[in-house]
Amino acid sequence: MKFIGNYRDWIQDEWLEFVKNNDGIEQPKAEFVDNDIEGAIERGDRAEFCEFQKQYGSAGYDFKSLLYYIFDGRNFPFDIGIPPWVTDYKEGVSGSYFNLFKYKPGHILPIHSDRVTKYENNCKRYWMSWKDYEPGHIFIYDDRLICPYKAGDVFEFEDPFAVHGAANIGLSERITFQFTMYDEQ
Amino acid sequence: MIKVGNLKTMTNTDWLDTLLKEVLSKEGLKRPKEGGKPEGKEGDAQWQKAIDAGYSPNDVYFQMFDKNNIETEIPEFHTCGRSRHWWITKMNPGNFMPMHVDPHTKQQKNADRFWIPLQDWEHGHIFMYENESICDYVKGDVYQYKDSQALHGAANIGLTPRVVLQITLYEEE
Repeated sequence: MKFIGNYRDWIQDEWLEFVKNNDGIEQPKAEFVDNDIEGAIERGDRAEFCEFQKQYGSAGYDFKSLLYYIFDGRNFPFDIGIPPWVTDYKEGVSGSYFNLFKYKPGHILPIHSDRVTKYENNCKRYWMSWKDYEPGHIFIYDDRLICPYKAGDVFEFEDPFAVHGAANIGLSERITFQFTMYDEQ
Repeated sequence: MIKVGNLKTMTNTDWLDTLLKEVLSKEGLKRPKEGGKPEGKEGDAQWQKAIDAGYSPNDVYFQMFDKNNIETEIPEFHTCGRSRHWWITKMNPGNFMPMHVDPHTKQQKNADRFWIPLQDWEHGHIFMYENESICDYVKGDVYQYKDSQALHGAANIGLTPRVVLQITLYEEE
């Protein structure tokens, strides 16, 4: 992960308060229901994605459980715009999306590689914590632990397709933000 | 954490594979659901903090093995005359151990803590020692805590079970 800079001033208090005071979409439970992943696995649709899910199911993860919360364009009622550290966004050429993650103590995100980024042209992915680092707030990128950090620190994935995962084995909530940008086809 | 060596320097390390096989083949004591509440005032305080943060004493976060549920014989190491206390933690994918300080290292005199993975490191097998994560280790590596009372915790967000032998050496009062 490449450190880009600190952009704490960009994080609006009302954004942070909203995430602290609300629980987001329950993942991976909602993803499975909304996208009928079980049906897709049975039918053999989306073979590559389903193979990946089957692997995790075999390892013992229960995809109908709550592992973490997510906020995105569906349930985050603010327009975040294009973050200030993104200087090469081209209107009409670039596409983007964001995800906000909320991990209560005991929440985890198993290691994975974001397969969609493999198909995104000129993909760039940024990671930012909205809270100062606390012991037990884990973000692993390849074999590296990202810590310590301050709220607002921004890191760029050197490889958007790299293996990463997260966990919260601490005593307070962990809130992180991810912004992905790519060239529209 | 200080890497102090690897058990492969011992004459016979077959027991490591036998031990791993045994741990993987059976269920241990389910923690914290089946007990394991730390003793003493500090243990109580840590337990309460964890519950207040949202952890449940009725869930299963990991499994524990010790001399009461392990048949494999663990050889007597040279301990410079100190007593030895060992246990094994097994974390299936999705298991974890919240950050904590071992209360027993405060109760035992001059306690030294050792951490010995029974498998090579795999992605998602996490051990946190203060702000450090221990990766790229191989089976039988022996790490010593720089401070036996340091904050530490673990998680398995990988695809295979994670098994670690833990040893504390201490002086009898």
